[in-house]
Amino acid sequence: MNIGTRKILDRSFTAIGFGSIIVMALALMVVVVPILTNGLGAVFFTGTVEHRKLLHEEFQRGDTQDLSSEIASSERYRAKAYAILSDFEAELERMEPEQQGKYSSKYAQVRTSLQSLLGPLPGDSPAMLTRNKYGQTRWEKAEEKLHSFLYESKWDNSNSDVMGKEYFVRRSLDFKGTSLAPLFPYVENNLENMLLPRFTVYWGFLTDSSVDSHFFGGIWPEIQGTFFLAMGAMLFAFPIGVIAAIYFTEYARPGFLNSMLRSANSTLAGVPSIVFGMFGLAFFINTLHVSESKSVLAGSLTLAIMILPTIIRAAEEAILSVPKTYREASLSLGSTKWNTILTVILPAALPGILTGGVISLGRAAGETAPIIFTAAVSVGSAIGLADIFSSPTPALSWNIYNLASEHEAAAEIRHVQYGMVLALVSIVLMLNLSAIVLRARISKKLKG
Amino acid sequence: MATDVRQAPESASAKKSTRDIYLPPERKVVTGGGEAHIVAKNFSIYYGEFEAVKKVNADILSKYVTAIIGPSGCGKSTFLRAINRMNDLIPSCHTSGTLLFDGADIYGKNTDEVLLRKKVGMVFQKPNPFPKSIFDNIAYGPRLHGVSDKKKLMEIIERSLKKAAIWDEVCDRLDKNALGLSGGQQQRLCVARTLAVEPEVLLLDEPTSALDPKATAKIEDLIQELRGSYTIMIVTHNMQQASRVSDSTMFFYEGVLVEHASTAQLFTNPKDPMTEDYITGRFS
Amino acid sequence: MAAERSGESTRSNDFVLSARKRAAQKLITQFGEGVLFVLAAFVAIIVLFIFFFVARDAVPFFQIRGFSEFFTSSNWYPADDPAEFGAFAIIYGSAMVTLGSALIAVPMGVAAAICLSDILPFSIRQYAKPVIEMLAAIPSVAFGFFALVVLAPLMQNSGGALLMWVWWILVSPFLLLTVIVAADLLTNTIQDEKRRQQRYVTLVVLFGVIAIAVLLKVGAVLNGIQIITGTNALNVSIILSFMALPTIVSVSEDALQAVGRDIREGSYALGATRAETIVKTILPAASSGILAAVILGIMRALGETMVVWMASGNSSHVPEPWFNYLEAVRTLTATIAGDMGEADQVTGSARFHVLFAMGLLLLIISFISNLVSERIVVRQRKILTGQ
Ligand SMILES: Nc1ncnc2c1ncn2[C@@H]1O[C@H](COP(=O)(O)OP(=O)(O)O)[C@@H](O)[C@H]1O
Ligand SMILES: [Mg+2]
Repeated sequence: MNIGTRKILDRSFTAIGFGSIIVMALALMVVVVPILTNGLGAVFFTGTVEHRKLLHEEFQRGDTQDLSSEIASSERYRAKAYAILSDFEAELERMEPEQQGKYSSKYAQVRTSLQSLLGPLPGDSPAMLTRNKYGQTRWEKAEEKLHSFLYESKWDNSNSDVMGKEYFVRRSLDFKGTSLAPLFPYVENNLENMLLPRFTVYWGFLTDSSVDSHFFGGIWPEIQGTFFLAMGAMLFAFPIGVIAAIYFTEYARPGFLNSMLRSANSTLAGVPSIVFGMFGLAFFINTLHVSESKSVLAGSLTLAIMILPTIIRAAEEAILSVPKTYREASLSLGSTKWNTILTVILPAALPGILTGGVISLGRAAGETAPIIFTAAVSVGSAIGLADIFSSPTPALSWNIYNLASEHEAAAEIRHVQYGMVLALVSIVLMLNLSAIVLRARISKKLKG
Repeated sequence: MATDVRQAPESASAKKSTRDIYLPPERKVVTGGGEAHIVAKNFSIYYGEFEAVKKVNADILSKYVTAIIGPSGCGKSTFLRAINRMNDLIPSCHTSGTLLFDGADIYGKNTDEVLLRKKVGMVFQKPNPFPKSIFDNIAYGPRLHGVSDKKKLMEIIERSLKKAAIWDEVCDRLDKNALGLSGGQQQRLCVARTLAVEPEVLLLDEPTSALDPKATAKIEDLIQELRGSYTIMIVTHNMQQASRVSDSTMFFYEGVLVEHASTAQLFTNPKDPMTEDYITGRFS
Repeated sequence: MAAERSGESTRSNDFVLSARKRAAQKLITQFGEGVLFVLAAFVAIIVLFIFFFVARDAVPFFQIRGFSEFFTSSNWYPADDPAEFGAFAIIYGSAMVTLGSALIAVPMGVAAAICLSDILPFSIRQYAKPVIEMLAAIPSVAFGFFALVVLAPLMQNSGGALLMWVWWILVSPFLLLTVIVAADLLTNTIQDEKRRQQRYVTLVVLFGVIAIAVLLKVGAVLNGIQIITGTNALNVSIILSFMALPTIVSVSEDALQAVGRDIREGSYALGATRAETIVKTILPAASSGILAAVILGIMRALGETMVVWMASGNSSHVPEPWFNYLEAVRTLTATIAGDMGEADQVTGSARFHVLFAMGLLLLIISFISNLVSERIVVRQRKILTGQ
């Protein structure tokens, strides 16, 4: 090959390497950016008067006077719409049965649509579910609902070769000439006055319980559950892991038994997380009966087993990186081996051990599969500390799955899902980050 | 068994002769010293199959300074570390023959190596203070051996630091991290740390090889100060250093103790031609 | 004199204990070590327990239903009466997404590892490493959520165009390179410099035209593809490859780093370019370590639950044609996660046990892969340290 081509090949080889790293960085961005931007939307958003009404009624928050004046002002605008509705209902009464049939189903659609926008309308029976008690609490959702209030969506299936195409028809066309016709332009033009959107910071998203299976409210039970599970796992795994690491580094003699133990450790590290879940179910719950059924305890134990190999490895590495001279110095002063480990080696290895611990804590917080059968429930309130031995708990990781894949109105509460994902990702990344900072800090301190 | 060893019948006669051989004529005689403190008899050290120290017979006199010289890899460190059983850390290492400390077998069945190390302190080639405060470094040993009273600790620390001639430099920053000291200071701190356990023997393994000349001079002065209070053994590469600080000198070559004599004699009138070659720099 | 000495030596020899005290001391030390050993052996005990308890609930399934249906049939109707437990399509689905993710992650991961160990200057490497660590730290359910909520709709709505763009961006540089190299190789034997130049240019133009035609044609075909469902094997493969990447990169990088400097310098000294050095000397020397990395990365993809559960479509059938990554599939892990809740745990029905059979299958595969990769790493270390 001539040298020019060889050089081109060399350059492109470099480019491939760079390219793959850039692709990885992009992958990270592509995943993290939507989670970040949409997730922040769970706390920072344009809230409507319905949101403030909800906060006041469900959480007793907000100024009563301000709120009632806001409601009064919004009711003033809503009254006109309600009046149009009652006019049309009267007109509907007077119609021929045939015409009545033609309008009434369409009118029912309009009414439902308006209900979801503004909340219960005059003449509705009181709502059973909280989700039906309020109109749209978020302005961007209100705008979506406004669109489906104004337009009816239809599917064009004329060409059977390709998938059907969606298209929209103005509802006002259906009601041309009736007394309902003015409703559409009126709502379109006065929606802001009826909902009073305002920039809102809802920290309660992190500290409130959910209302009506996450239609409203916050994710505190999930955050707390995640905290309990991860901390519980650490409580079991950390001491055992560190002690095992001490054994492997300071006491184990090379040989068959030792290599068996090491193989066991890497085998455990490679077990698929769902198998941990099955084991937790079969062993902790069905055999040991640590609890009646799912519980925080069973989940923590399962997670503990999962993170044990990581902790052992990190601790081992940290202990091995302690200079041999410390050991010699301590022993030459007449210290016993055990005392040397406790007073010299472990303190020096602490940054590494803690780093491994914090990263494992993040892993325990983020894992879902091991807790599906052992600890997680979809709905529920925050549990007390005393209940961890007997009750299951909601947890961020599980509820993200549950809300996104199994919730009856998953598409309606995307903002909650995003908020949960952001909460989980930031907990995990923050733990990782603090591990890095911790490592830097303590090792700096050790260096004097 | 133990009582047998303690009586150590031969050591009395050995003592007589060694005194004559090793006592330094030109140096100040140490009162109360000069007895055989450590005695090696046919003592060998192996790493697995490899015999690193071969059948050494030697008496180390109490309260005097004994230097160990020899080319690198000849077993100096191995021999030194055998005396406080630091070689126990190396799994493949084992010994034969006897090594007596005050007449008791260091490698005896009932010897507690932890108690032994309290009596036989060691300072290593590279300064190795713990990553703790200066105070905690010195207090480490006394605390181990049961001193917890703060005032008593402070006394011990002051005394040790003064003995190690570093008190003036660190007395105002005892709570600072010891790793912030200079290399020479760290090494003297290590000496102080060892002295704080009140050992009888001080083993120094090339204590100045990692230091600059100024710090080296300070350590050498320190050794002179300590002479007469402790039995000191110092491994050194530097023959000037050996002749400056020691009373008697051992020359090792490939694991064999070639010659052991008073320093003055070994350097001026070596008996063995190999010793002569080494000290005149024909090989190293 | 003798009395004085012996008096002194009793004070001085106190490091010699009485035989009884020494024996007691040894006993205590050994007991302590024993306790430590038991705690260290805890991990091994857990591994045994995991095998035992998963197998204990898996064996009844094979006793009731035998092996052949499970491994050969694709009829998965565990809830019907009579129930059918054909898991072939599910095993196939697992294999498919694992392979798909490996196809993406292995070349990228190895290239990134090479880049990190041999190409990037240290200053940039400092920033690249946290990216990898962060990618590794993101919880799987977040990836699953992304796959379901962002990637799936995107594929469904504009999948064809997406595929076309990916094809163009990824493949055009390679085609360009191939054209240049092929032209170079074909004109290599011509001695006369001027004729060689002419031939070279003609060939480049000729091949270039062909390459562009191929690019455009395939691009158009891809653009015409309608992706029926966004939750499909391709979606999952892409996300799983993100998750396998950190493992592959970091383990391969270790393997590459373990290849000494001298090997590299030897190659440069012979006039090889960096790429040639890497491909011809470093990669072969590190190959077994990289293989271990690939195995570990693939295992991560095979064992992953949440992403496949949320975004694979969970449809238990072998796609048609068999390599159609645009169809929904179902995997072992997702089946276990999804069906356990409905399976009757108490009465120990086949429906419950079949899930443990799947778990056992996963466990055995991961166990074997782990052993293999461990052996490989040990062997490479031995070779490199020359033992
Ligand atoms: N841990 C060890 N394992 C095996 N051989 C060793 C070990 N330490 C030292 N040796 C060998 O023992 C011999 C003496 O070493 P050492 O006492 O350190 O020499 P010196 O201190 O005189 O330079 C050398 O040949 C060295 O290779
Ligand atoms: Mg040495």
